[in-house]
Amino acid sequence: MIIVNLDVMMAKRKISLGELAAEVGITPVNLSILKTGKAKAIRFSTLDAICRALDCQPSDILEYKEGENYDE
Amino acid sequence: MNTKRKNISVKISLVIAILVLAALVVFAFVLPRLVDYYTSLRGRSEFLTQNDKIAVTIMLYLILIPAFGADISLISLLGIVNKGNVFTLPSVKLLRFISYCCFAEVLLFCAISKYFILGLVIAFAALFLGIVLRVVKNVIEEAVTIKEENDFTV
Repeated sequence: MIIVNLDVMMAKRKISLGELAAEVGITPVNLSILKTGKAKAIRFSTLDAICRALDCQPSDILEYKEGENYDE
Repeated sequence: MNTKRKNISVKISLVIAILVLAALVVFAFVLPRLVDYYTSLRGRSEFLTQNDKIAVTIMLYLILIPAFGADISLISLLGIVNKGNVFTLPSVKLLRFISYCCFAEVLLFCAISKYFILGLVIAFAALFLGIVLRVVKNVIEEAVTIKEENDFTV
C-alpha cells in the first residue's frame, strides 16, 4: 500500500499544518486527512502544489510498501 | 435550483408529510365507525357477518402500522435532507425501511381484498411504490460510496 510521509517532510521543512494548507490552497481539514493517511486519492494539482510548497519530489511524500492491500 | 427555493420545497414536503400523519391519526380514531357505516350500507350486511366486521377492523388497524412507520421515516428523512447530508447511510436505512413498509402493505391489502376487491389495486400500487423506493435506495447507496470517495480526495 501507499504510505503518506507528509509529516516527515513537513518536519524537515519546519512548516505547520495551517501554514502548508494556506500555501497549497486547501483547507487544513483536508490536509489533515492526507497527513493522517485517511485520504483515498490525491489530485495531481494538490500534489503539485505540495511539492512546490515543500520544494520536494512526490517520492519524498509518498512511499510504496509491500504487503497490506486496499480491498475493503 | 437555488437554496431558497430548495428550502421551501423541503418545507412543503414536510407539511404534506405531517398532514398525512394527522390524517392517519384521525383515521385511526374514526376507523370503527367507518367500518360500521360501510357495513350498514344497503345490501352489505348480507355479505359481511359480525366476525367479518371484526376481521376487517383488525386488518385496517394492521394496515395503519406500516403507514405510520413509513410516514414517520419520511419525516425524519426530510430532516436529514434539511441538514444537507442526504448521501449518508442513515437515509439509505430509512429508504429501505419505507420500502419494507410498502411490501408489508402489499401483503395486508392482498389479505383485505377478500372483502374489498379494490384492495388488490392498492396492493399493486404499493408493490410498485416499494420497488421504486428500493431502486432509489440502491441509487443513494451508490451515491454514498461516490461521495465518500470524493470527500477523501484531497
